[in-house]
Amino acid sequence: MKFFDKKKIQDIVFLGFSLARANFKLRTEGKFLGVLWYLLDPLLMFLILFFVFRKNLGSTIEYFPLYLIWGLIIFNFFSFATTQAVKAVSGNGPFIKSMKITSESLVLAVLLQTAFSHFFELLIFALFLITFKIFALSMVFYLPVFLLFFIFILGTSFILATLGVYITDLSNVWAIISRILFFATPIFYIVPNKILFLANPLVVFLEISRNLVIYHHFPEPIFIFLAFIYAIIAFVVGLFLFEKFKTKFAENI
Amino acid sequence: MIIQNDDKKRIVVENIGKKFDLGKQKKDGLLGSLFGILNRKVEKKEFWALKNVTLDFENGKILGIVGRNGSGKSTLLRLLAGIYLPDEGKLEINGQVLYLAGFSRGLMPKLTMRENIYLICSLLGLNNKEIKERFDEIVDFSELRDYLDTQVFKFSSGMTSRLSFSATIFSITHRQPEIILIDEALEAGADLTFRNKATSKIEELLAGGANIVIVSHNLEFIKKYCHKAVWMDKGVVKKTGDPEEVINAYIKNAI
Repeated sequence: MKFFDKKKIQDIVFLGFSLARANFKLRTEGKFLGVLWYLLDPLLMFLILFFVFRKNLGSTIEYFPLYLIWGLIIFNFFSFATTQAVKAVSGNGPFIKSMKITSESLVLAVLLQTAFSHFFELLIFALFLITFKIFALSMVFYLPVFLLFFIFILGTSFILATLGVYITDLSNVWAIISRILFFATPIFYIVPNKILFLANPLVVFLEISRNLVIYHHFPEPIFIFLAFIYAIIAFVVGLFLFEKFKTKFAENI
Repeated sequence: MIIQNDDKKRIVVENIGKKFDLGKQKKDGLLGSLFGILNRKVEKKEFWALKNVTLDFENGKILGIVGRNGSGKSTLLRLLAGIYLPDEGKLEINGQVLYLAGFSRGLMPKLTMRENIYLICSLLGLNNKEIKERFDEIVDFSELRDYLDTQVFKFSSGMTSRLSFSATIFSITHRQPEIILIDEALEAGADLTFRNKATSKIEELLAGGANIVIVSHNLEFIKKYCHKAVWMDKGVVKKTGDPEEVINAYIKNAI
């Protein structure tokens, strides 16, 4: 199978990194302070939600500011990456037509670029943990969750990038779905004890990581199981769709 | 230099055709399709950009393609590059392919020259280590060492084309692909001194033993360097053979 050609995967990953680095530099204008732009949006969201819900939820949720900010970090990673993934292929028409470029790299680049800013947010979060006198090294427990989450987002991005070629207004549709997901995910409220919530993959990834990082609780096995399932399903379906349609991309954009 | 130890043809093109759907010109999107019932159906229109194209590619030879705009030259090249898939016929590619359409593709004006060199080379399939190896050669050839950390949008157009030419040509020589497809990209667009340098670099590349297919409106270039030429018109091959003859026929038809 061509899928597991080692050299090919290396090439895809390397090109993905190069493109992500170039785009990251473009966005930060090559200046260190440019990174702040990445942090401004989550920070603003945090402040608004914090002051609105401080009275009600602040007293019931332990470490409410941390709870809230972690929710935003996890949600933003997913939301930024997927929003851009919709345009990853369809927005690069001239590129795909005039260079023999592996289109997987374009999708990967979007995700890697978002991952860069995700890491900056994680660094800031570590500082928050220290201010709240919480053992900040618990951040390392996030690593395995991050890997699964990354695979899940990558799969979702492949699906969206493929659909984005055929559905021209997908970015509008996805903006609405993202907004719904934002409120369907317990970012600023307590996780309701309902099975239905587990159908939202973001709840699973958020709960596992938040419990590990802030509360040092080991997640329930069902959560871990679901995280694996979601990651694998998204990745397999995404890659399958993408590989099936990628030879048709050039003439449809 | 590529050693030719096999007599397997690197490029086989037999009766290939490529069609595009023109009917639904602008896709409606999801919202549009929901209201699509109200619209009357647009009839499906097909357009064959290429039809029944059979070409004989000899290994290690240079083939030039001429023809009017819209005659299917670029479509043919994209088929060979694997960017499009043919709708009919037999297409076989054996070997590494490099496709070039315009030297300044992939250049990002807001990045510095150094960053752009890394970007162009990685787009052309070099990895980090290989780029580092070639980096000095590229910079020296472009004669732009003083501007390594300048953003490219501040460059003059001559400097820009020197930069992209150098990065591209050294990436090609490094990778040594068996098949090189060039779509209107052999203009260095710089001053005379650089152009001479560039020309000798291009000649080196042409003599390298790769299968080269060139689409160009520069008829003199095709006459001078190609072993064989093809004249295409409206998606079919009009004439093929000796460059001199083919081009004369093409010119006669144009007048």
